[in-house]
Amino acid sequence: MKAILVIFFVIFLLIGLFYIFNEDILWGLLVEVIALVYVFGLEPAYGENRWHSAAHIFAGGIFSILISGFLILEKLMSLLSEPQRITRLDVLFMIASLVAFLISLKFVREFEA
Amino acid sequence: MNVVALVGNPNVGKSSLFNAITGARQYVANWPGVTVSRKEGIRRWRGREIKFVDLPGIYSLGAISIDEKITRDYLLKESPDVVVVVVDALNMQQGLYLLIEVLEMRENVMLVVNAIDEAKKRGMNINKYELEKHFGVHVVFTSAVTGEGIEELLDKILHIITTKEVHSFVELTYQKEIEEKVKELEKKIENIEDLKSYKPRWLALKALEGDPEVLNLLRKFGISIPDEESKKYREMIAQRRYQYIDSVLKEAITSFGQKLTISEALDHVITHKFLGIPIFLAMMYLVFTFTFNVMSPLSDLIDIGISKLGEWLRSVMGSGWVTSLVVDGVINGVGAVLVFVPNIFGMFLALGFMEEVGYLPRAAFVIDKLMYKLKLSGRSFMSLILGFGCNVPAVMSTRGIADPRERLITILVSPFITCSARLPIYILLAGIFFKGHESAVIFAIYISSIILTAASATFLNKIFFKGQPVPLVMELPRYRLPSFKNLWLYVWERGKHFLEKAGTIILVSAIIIWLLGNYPAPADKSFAADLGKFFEPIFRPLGYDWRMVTALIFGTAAKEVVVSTFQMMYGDPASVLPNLITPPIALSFMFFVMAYIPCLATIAVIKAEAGGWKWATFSVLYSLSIAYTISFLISVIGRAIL
Amino acid sequence: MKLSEAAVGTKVKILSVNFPPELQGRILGLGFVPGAIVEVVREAPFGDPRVYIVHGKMITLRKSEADLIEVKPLSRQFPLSMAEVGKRYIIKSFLGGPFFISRVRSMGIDIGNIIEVRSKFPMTIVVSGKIVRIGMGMAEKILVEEI
Repeated sequence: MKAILVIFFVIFLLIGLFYIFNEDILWGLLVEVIALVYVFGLEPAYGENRWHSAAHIFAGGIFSILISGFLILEKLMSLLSEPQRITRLDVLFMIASLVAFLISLKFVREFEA
Repeated sequence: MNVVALVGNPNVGKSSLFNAITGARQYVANWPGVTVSRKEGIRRWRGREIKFVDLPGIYSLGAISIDEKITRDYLLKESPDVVVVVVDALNMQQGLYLLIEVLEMRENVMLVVNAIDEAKKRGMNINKYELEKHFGVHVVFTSAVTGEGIEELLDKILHIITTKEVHSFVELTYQKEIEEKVKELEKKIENIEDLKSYKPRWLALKALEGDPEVLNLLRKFGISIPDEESKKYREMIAQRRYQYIDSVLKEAITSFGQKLTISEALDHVITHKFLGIPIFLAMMYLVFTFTFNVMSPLSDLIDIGISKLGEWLRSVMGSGWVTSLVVDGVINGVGAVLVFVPNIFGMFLALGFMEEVGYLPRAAFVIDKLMYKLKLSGRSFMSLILGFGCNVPAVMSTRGIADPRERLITILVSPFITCSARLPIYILLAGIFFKGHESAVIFAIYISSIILTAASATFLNKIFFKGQPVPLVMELPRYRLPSFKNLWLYVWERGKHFLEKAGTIILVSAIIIWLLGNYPAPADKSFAADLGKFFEPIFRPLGYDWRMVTALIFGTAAKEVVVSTFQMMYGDPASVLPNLITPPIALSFMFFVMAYIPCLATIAVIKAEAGGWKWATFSVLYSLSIAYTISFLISVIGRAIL
Repeated sequence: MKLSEAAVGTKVKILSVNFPPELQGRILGLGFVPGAIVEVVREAPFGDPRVYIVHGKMITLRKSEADLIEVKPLSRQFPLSMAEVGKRYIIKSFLGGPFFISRVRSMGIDIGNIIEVRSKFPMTIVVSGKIVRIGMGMAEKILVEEI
């Protein structure tokens, strides 16, 4: 589980940085929030380590699909007036989010009866 | 028609249940004298028309908060045929406390245990018979989400209506000390003619609990309970009730899994000490993005549609004042309203989603410490943030704020949040007078806007509400997947309210502004220009000339118009203005635009949401005086320095 | 002690509830009644408010509100940060993950040790003959029992 946290932290950290360097500062910061969710999963909590990490992986997947979904939605709606390009970075972000989301679904098992 | 009242804690799915029962046949009114909404609906079942009333969600039947008072008065004074108490299967203790209070008040009561599907998912097994036996009522398990149990519920309701069956709950015997005092009080009460309509035991218990309304009533007949005593009794009574509930639940619930829930896992991240704020800001930004960036293309389409319609009409009707009235006046006026619709509906959709999912209380929790200083809450913060895009959805979004004081303060300070319509004027003037430092100047204006909003909140709270902080004491309900039906009803109800209340005002004012700006002749020779010249003396201490004042007057319709008025009046502002005014005066003007009256659409929604012209007028006068004062200081200090 | 003083992660039992009249009904109705068991779950980003679990519900209260509820620890264990100077205690458990535990152990403090509190602010204790200084944050996460 620690591996998943580290890998996704790095992925979203880089994607966020790319957005920032491309002058898309606000979206870049949003992606960094996702990275933060993953990195804080590495912090040891009171006793129960396992579900603490699982909670972060689960939440990370949900937030990433939420944020990437909004980004795509905004770009799609812009087609109605001033079209914005969907860039390769956007596609990369979307794919990473989908993968993160699918993985988070596997972790739902940790929580339900 | 038969009437059924729904009672229950907040967050138990009572409203979803109500929606599932009444569907679209529901309407919202107001409880007389207060601004709490009253939801009623009708359902036809086996040939009968039954009216359902959704009473406000409450935790107990004390008579302190508005919601409690309304529910209590309703249960005491009206005669519904059936009172249905709704509890959450995953959290029955809470709801059963309320059930006991209702059982002590009324006889035609039944119990609904909602969210039974979630209980089953957790491996919970609830024994209906035990509940029916120990509470003496009919019990139905339902799920507002799957629809399970609703038909059974309607059948049971019909049964109670036709047989007029009453509950067989054997009233709780409280501790010896309490029962003795109750007997004492009952004896006194039974002798009083005026109290014949109440159950003596209920009055006695409520008096011992220190209920203010009951104590007021009894004081008239010389019966009173000292505070320290009622405090003790109230605790004892609550303890006894919970003890009974716990013992019943022990028998009624089996195999309760103690696994950690999804809600707890999510909260672990969402209310995390360090992640809480970044996540909050992210959610805010998503709501903002959805409301403006995603919805605005639709507004643009509507704008284009309106223009095309105008052009077509012009080609058909020719030129002349009738055409101008219809096209520039009416059509544009209607357009002025419609153009808000995507943003308003989008905002309600985004906020409604946050609320349905269960995120909003977490947001309030995370930002509470900061907002407490302003006597506001995280919920108001979310509303205010929308103001940076446009004040109109910001004010409309205050509908969801529970505390009426907080709601009013938020509505009154939101115009100080500098909206996107004011930005063009900052950009124009900063570009002319502060070249090279535009960002710094505009940033300073934004920061001042935030400071002004915060200061106003504190100030207004002090003078209107003596600086009373709003208590937090808030529940974090389970997270749930939003139901699209509920979401749609939520958005439609509020969007409709906007169209009805604000729409008409915006339309009428757009026409009036058009008239002022075009008669007897457009621009320079219009009534508006005359007004500008008339008010110029007032603005002379600030250093503005009459054309700037006219621009301000037009700006009341919509702040973007200030820039177009400048272009209309000055031709080429960049070359003309530096000869007329100095940088400090330009800065003063920018601040004036930032702070002066809300635009007409905002005034309209303030009136609609704060309930009346009184507050809208106050908002106008208050912001005008603040704007004038600040701009005056800037002009004067600027002149002195330079 | 006040509910606001209970350490995060511990459970306490309510002794009395003293809210102003307009809130008392609501707070009791939410389940904060004498005898009820409350778990302190977590605190907000700035330390205030905190999340509590009572009667199966998650409720948030500000420090000023939690100050009005008197509680006693459920077990005889309580955080070292609430210990009294001059008294002796036995270390019962730690409220932290493996990093925290190994750090505490490396300072010579382990479960079962008997310690004496010399002073607070800063917290100075005597354990196994050695004098050790620990921060309040750490002291909040070490549960002890009075001897």
